[in-house]
Amino acid sequence: MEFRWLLLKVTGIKRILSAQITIDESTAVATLQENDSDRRRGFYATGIGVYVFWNLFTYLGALGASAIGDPAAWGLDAAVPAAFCGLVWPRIKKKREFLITAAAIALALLLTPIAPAGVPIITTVILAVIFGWKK
Amino acid sequence: MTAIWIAVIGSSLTAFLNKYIGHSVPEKWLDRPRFKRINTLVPIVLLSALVGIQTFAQGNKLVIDQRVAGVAVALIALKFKAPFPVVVISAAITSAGIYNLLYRTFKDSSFSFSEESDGSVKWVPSEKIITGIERMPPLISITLSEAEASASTSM
Repeated sequence: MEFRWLLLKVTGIKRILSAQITIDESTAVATLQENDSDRRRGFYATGIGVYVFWNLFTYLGALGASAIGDPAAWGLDAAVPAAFCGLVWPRIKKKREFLITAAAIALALLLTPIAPAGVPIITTVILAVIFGWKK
Repeated sequence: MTAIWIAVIGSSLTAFLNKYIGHSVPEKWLDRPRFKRINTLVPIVLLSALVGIQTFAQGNKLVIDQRVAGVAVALIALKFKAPFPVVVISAAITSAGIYNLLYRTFKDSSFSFSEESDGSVKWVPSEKIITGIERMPPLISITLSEAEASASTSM
């Protein structure tokens, strides 16, 4: 998968609004498009769509999450990592990428007992820098 | 305003500024092969780390429980080029199936796990009937200290 930057070329108030809805999803949809107008359309449709529904369902969750009870009883604790597997899968094409994946999982798990939550995940960016530094 | 609100607003502002600065970076700065290579790898390492943590971590402990089976099924589904919803739902069904099966056995019989002095794990009668949203103990738990280990098996 060739890497492409998200370049919207917007200024002023539009840049402020674009920054607000710059997320994984809108960036992914935009960078997959072939021309500038499709890129814009993809970015705003995804960004605004996710913004609206994310907040709506967060609100609904805050109101009624306790009604669901134990998330594990619904398999939700496995659904989340499964979804992330689906996202990372198409990015692993070569043996080298598989090695990077394995290294990231190993590093995160090694840090889990000793570092505060979140730190094991963000630390793996070091691996991206190390593996990406030289061709 | 409580500390949590300060943290929420502070991190929101930081996240927004981060993204705004991203949109303001001149294009020619970004056109470096090294930047591109690193940025291609960032989502790979972050997503991989997330998968690892969400599959094996329970707080600061590493555990093997129903989630591993769910994720294994997801990987098999991906291997067979299953569509995304199939991957997620098959993982959820597998995990929930195992969890509920064990949970029901656990609850109805009022039994619980006990670790013997020789390290083996067996089911023993428990005074306490598990109710509500209290979680079942994981099948295998790796803990750092003896104190933690005894705390987790005494549930």
